[in-house]
Amino acid sequence: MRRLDQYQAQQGFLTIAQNSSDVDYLRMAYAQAMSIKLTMPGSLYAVVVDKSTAEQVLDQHRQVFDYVIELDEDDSANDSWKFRNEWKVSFLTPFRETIKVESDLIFTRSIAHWWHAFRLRDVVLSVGCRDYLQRKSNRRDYRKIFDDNQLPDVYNGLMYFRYTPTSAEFFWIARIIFQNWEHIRDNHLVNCRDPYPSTDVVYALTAKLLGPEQCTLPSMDFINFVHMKAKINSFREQIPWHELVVAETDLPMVRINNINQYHPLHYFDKDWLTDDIVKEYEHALRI
Amino acid sequence: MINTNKSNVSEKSKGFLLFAYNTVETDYVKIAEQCARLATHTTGLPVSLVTDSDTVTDYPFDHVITKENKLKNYKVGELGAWRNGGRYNAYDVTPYDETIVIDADYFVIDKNLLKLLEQDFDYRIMQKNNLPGGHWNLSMGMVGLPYVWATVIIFRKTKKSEMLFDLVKRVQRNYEYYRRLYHMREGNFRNDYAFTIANLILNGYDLNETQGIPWNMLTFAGVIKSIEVHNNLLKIREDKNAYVIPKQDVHVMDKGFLLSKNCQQMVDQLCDA
Repeated sequence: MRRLDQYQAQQGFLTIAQNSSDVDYLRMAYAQAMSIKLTMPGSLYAVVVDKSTAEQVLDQHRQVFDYVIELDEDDSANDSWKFRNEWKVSFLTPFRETIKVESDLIFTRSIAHWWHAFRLRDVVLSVGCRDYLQRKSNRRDYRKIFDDNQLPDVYNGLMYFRYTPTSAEFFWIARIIFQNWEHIRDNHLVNCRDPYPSTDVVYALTAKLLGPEQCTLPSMDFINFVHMKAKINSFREQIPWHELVVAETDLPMVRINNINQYHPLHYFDKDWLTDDIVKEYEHALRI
Repeated sequence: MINTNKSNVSEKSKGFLLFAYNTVETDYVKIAEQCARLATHTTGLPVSLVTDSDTVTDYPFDHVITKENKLKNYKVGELGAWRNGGRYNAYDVTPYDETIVIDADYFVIDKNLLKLLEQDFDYRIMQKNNLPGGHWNLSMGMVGLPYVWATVIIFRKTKKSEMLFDLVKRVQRNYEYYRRLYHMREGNFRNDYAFTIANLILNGYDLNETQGIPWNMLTFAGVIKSIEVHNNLLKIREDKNAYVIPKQDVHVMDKGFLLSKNCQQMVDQLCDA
């Protein structure tokens, strides 16, 4: 499926933004792209969109979207969780080396030096996550499936891949799992009842099949991000984290409960990204 | 703002600084006298006292520095009342180039603090605290941050240290604001919290422990019946527990014990050893 003209640049960031009925992922991708341009000037950014989301791409978005790539087919058209297209990033990326990120993740400082670490593997999944105190989390509240199935503790919120046979194999396995999710869930996973394939589980299973040593860098324990899911931070789930504690922006820095977020921030709760914050990014980049 | 002056230059003066303000029920100056006696015996360093003008002491402190403390008294459980404001004055009033500020209820029994003074730094604060049964892992509030222990602070006269104490002063002056911002559980002023906030701000709003004293403090928070010295061991008896530990610095919070004859005997024993 790779086209000869697929690769148009050496390296860059990529996300998938498929708007759903209640979540504007394109807006989050826009904020993400601005955070990348602000912290790592000169970095390239690509966004993969479905047809209806593509129609919502505005001129202001294109100031930070270097590539807007439209999906030919949307495997998630009937899903409320739109994960089934994830495996396609390998075939759609315009970059020879790609850092693929979830759209609700922003950068508060440059991670340009991470590229050098990533190059030790063809595919790198981030392992574990951090709480807002920047400490590696040992909470397992959201990882029961992983523990029950002895899957590696990987997160797809931030990953790296480049065009090699190993990465091709990784995405080939992932594709099979995505496309046969119900069968694999019911016959090969324990205590898994997810109606849709979550990318974290699919990539963890893929990593297990391919060999975690092929797609993780355990010694590089800085390759992960802050995850703002409530229990990871010992917060109550009933209250959004940004209502529970002070969240300030001094862009590109974000300060949560008086702690600067030096690691990439997976803010998770979409309501945190207010129009004021988007405007603050636009102001910083003179958009 | 790392201090570039070598700490082992002989003309640098070094010493302990104690803050002690008596309350209606506790003679903190008396406690400070025992603390000073032991600190000087163990390290050979002089000890100065910061107190208010009402205080009378016969102990030969290196300096007795008068600083009024208007903070009200507070009482928490069995620990007794205290008047702990004004610790930020340490930077201005210390007569030493290199100062070790300790609480009057901290007994200097080993020479680790002296060794630390051989290192190059602006300031160091006690970061971790152990109870004999395990870690004392507490935060300032339910969603509050972990805090440092102002029980032991070592500082040199540098710009960064000055900023630390200035920030502590600002926090104390605007404590109600910071109390809410940092989700503090208690309403009363705590030096630990003020230094935590100042240290956090000064280090880029980051919980890094680079300014921490690189070992855990050992605290006895309960009622102490006795502490005995046996060779290189301390035998510490509480109401229901007893501990035998190697001779080391201990933080004893039971004011009743600190003012008891047994405490005086313990200090005598350690000083005679």
